[in-house]
Amino acid sequence: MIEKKNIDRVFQENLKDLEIEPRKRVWNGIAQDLANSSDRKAIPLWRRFGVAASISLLFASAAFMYLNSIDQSPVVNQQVSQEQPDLEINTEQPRTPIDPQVTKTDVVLAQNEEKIEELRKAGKPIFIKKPSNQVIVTTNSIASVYTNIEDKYVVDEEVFLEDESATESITDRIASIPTKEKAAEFIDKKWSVGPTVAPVFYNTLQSGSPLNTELSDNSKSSDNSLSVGVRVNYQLSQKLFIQSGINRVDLAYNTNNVNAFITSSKNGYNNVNTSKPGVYLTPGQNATSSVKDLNRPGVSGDINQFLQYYELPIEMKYSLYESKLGLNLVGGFSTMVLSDNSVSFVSNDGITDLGGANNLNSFNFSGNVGVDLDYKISKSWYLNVAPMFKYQFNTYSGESGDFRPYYFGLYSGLNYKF
Amino acid sequence: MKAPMSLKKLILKCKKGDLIAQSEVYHLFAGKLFPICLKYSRTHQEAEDNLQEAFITIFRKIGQFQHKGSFEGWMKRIAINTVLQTYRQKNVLNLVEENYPEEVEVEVDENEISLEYLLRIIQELPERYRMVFNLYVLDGYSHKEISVLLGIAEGTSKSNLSRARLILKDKIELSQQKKKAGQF
Repeated sequence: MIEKKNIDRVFQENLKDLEIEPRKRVWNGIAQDLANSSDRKAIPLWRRFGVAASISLLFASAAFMYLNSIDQSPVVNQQVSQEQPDLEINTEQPRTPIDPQVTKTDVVLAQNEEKIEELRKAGKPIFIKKPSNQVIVTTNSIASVYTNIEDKYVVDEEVFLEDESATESITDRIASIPTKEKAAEFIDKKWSVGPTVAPVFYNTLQSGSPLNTELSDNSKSSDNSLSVGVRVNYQLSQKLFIQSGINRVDLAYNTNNVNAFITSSKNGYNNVNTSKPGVYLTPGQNATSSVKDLNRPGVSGDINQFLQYYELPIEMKYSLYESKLGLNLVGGFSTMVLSDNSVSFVSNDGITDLGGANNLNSFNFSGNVGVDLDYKISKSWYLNVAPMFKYQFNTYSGESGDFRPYYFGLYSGLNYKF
Repeated sequence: MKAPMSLKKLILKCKKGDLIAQSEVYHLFAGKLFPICLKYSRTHQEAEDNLQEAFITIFRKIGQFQHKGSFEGWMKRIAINTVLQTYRQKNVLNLVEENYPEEVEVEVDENEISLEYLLRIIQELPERYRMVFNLYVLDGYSHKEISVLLGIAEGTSKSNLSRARLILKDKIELSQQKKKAGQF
């Protein structure tokens, strides 16, 4: 029917609420621009290492618990906008915002590449199966997007599909899927426990002798030492762990090249309580320097000091790399309780027990730092090897002749996660 | 009206630069913004380019959206502005001002006129006529606002509008006459 109409109305009525879908290339162009400008650069390993190392050192030097400051995961900075064109128009055209709805029939689990491509073309939500029974949910249509969303929308496939009966729209449900960081709060196996054993090398950072100042310059060498114990590990976040346990640490070192004499002196060496008075120890090279001992060449040998501690470590572990093989930095401290201590003289003729040192503190501490490598055998079991450096504080009371003890241990163990 | 939570959540995620949320927003609103770009542009291709630019601007500036008005309205204004920016960059020659009638009526058979045709004849309008016609008739801007947006005098805006109406009227009538002639 022909009628006369105001030309404005002809256009207004016909073009009102018009919806026309553009071609896919438009979104591709936008996604590419967003990906380029968002500056999601990976944090270089050395920076992550630096962050982790600082954290570990902090833990190593501090002697307190810091459970409240546990979230140290690196933050990715995002650059927002470079140019901001003027927007001066204020004319408001109020419209009811559209509640995003995707029908349930659009939800398909994509099991293979063909299916994914098919769904992409249809513009339907795509679920990509991931290892460990997770799927990515997306309605995106281009492959480049996947690399960016992989860290974000990760959800357990079964949970999501079970939830299909939910009355919420798919988009709402997608929006409510926790990000990877949040998902980390729901780590199912947080605890692990296992035996640990380590050969230990005990030595001093400076020359000095806690036994006798005269022996300060003698060379010291580590003797066979061992640490055995149980370790408990608790996962605080995706990257951070706290671990403790108990170890029995047998430490031993030798003061080499010592001459032993029998003298009339009641107690010839300062820091050893002994039942054998009259044994006098001097450095081997000075054996003839004491005139009164010239006629007594003595016996040449090494002094062996043995220390046994029960060690209670508190350490933080920061994950640098996580896969089947994991790399972690470890830092913390230990409380050491002295349980045994003996000093003996070792010569070609045999071992003579001289007694025990009298200047050892019952309690001392160590600052610990090291690396932990773990290898996952299954979901519940993993092996780990951790070279650790432990520096002792407060080992000796009084005279210790600048002896700065440390030990290095190669800890290994089999751990069970639960 | 208060935006539904889901849209708010999406916008929040977009503000954080979440690509999947940006994709959601795009796919929700591209169909509504594209006709705007179509009617302000000469060709389909140009409209797509403008839509792309508009969404890039939307996502860059989404942090400034405060939920005070409708999100769709806010996006539409950005889309229109994007097109106008492109237009301003083209440095279009000023046409001579003339006086034309304000009211233009056209004989039209609604059944015979297609949406595609209406869109096409808008696109075929000279650049500034198209801008003025769209802004005034379809997007509700005043001549004063248009004069600021396009950097022209108000009188120029008015005469451009009248000229655009006459061109459109002629085309619609011509098309209807052709159709009629074809029927006999």
